[in-house]
Amino acid sequence: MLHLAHPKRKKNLHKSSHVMIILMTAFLIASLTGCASGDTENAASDSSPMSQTTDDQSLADSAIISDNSYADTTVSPNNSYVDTAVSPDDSHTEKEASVKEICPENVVAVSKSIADLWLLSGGSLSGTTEDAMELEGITENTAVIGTLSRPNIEAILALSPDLVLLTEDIPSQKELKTELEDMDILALAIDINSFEDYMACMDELTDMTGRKDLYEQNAVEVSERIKKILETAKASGGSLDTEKKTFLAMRVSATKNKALKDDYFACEIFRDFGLVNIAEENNSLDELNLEAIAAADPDYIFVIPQGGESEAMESYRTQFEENPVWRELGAVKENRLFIMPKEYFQYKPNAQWDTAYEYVYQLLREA
Amino acid sequence: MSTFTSFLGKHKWEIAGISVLIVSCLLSLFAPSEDITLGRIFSVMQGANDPTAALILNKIRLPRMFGGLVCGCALSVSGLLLQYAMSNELCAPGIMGINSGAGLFVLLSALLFPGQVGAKGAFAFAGALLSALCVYLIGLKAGASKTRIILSGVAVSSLMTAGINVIITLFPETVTDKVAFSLGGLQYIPIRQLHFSGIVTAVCCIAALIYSGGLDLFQLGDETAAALGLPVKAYRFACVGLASLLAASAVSLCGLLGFVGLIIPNVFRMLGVPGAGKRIRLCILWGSSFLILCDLLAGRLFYPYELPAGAVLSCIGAPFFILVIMRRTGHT
Repeated sequence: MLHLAHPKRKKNLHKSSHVMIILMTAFLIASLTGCASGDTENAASDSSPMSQTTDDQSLADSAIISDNSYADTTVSPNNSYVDTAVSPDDSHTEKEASVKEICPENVVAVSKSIADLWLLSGGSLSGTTEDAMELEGITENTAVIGTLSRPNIEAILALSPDLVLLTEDIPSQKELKTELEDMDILALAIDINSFEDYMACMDELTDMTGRKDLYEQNAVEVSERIKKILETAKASGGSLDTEKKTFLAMRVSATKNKALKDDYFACEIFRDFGLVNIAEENNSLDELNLEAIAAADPDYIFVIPQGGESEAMESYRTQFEENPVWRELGAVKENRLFIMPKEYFQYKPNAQWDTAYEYVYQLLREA
Repeated sequence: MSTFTSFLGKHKWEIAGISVLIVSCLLSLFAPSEDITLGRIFSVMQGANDPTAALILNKIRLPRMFGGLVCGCALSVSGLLLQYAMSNELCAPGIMGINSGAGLFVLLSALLFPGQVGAKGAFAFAGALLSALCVYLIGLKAGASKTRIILSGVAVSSLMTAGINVIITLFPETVTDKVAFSLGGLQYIPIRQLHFSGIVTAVCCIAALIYSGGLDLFQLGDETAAALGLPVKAYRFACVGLASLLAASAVSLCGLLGFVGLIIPNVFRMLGVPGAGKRIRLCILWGSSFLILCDLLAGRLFYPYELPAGAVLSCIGAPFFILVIMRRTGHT
């Protein structure tokens, strides 16, 4: 028991609040000094990857975005990817030569779509995410490095990768990229938002693997087949009356439903058939407000499930299908509402991009 | 011999705490995984050239271990100080809204001063202190019964969490991984932030230890404590301020980790450990060990699939919280 009646003790206790104030003041001064010095930590959303990468990484990054159309269309949430684009003055020849020199053998892909891209380019994978393990080209030597949303950095590092391919669309992968760059491990962010992005990416990846025949097979020929499908659709004229018709593309899942804007790759396919996206200019549709949808009354509705398909469809049924307002929509009454297959419209179709176009063409023809 | 035995008996929890902390740190650094075997780890320690194993040890496991040490210590000492200041064993930074307040202001700092370590810490402290003061003032106005204080904490926590969700919805770039931030975890520890939080935590723990004598008097009631010479209001404010500083330094490092500040102080209260000073020392030792071990479990249980450390803590903390409530109900 403290004998606080002792004057010295009383004095000490009164001192406690003074010490507290001094401590807090010291803390705040330290904080302000930290701010004023302009030091930054590695905040992925704001620091330029170019400033933190090794020379090899910066050249590899510039190679991926050397095609201006790819840079223009590849948009990360705060444009950091576009902001780090190498200036047009950089020598393309120098970039190509440096990328070709890399020829990475030990590659880790942190998503199924990206794993597919690398395999289509003729590469092999030493590690990938759980959902990519069923892809053709995966061997028994390919290790699982976690999931799309929670990749395990220790499992990735244990593979001693020459190159890690990831996407900055997933928040945890954005942090992963920063960590890998801090350790001087080459990490390339790949974001495919259109068929042009896919072609540019395949061009660069096949430069690395040296398999330009696969670029011809999986990109150029696919592009030609898409052109034929669109020409056929145009030639159909009146039987495929989609010009200026409107559409709503919506992604449904167990946790969240949202309208898809034109920067989503599937919307590009719909627009190529002459359809207009009602969600592009109308922000009230972002969260799929039923009143706004009823007011817009789109001609076509495309529903794309995400995640567990049964859970996604259950969510769609309870939130939309069972709603009387939804049932009164023109697209619903006239059977112009389509549930789209995940493999072509949720996951990037990659070498089957033409199959996605063909699918949409057949839907619109029969509608 | 009897002196030694007496010493051991008197300090058994501290000695055990030091041992458990050392073992936890060693496990965190050297526990083998499917990819990094024990043999490789020993080889690296003996100077073998294994850059991969060395990279994993130095760049992944070491910062993670120190992150667990700093955050576990900060959160448990913060919880203890709050429990003394509010005379309520259910008080903890997570329950009182202090963590959420710090989290909200961390997001504001990311919005206004992106990437600035100092600003992040200062804002976290301001948010933590604001939440604590809100709870304190509501308690003063509405009556300082233990239940009302907890309910005020829940209300303030909800308000701050709503603010967090609004900012994340409108400005998603303020936090790289919303889910990881909300659950809390030690997967990615920024080194500069670790240094900053480590220094703040150390200074606050030392301050808490030096002035722990007055904390015991809170248990006698405000009037008795005042009669014995304790400046009750100033002391309570100082406790809450220290608790806020500690919570802020943890939140800015590991996100909204909960339950550490509730579980560890209550374990030693239930074991009848006397004296605030001793409990603070035990919180430092056991709080750090607990978080390091929870993080290890989260990372290794389903390797390479990693659980958030916050989820593991919630699985342990929630039943413990219910147990404490039920014991309180039984006593009353």
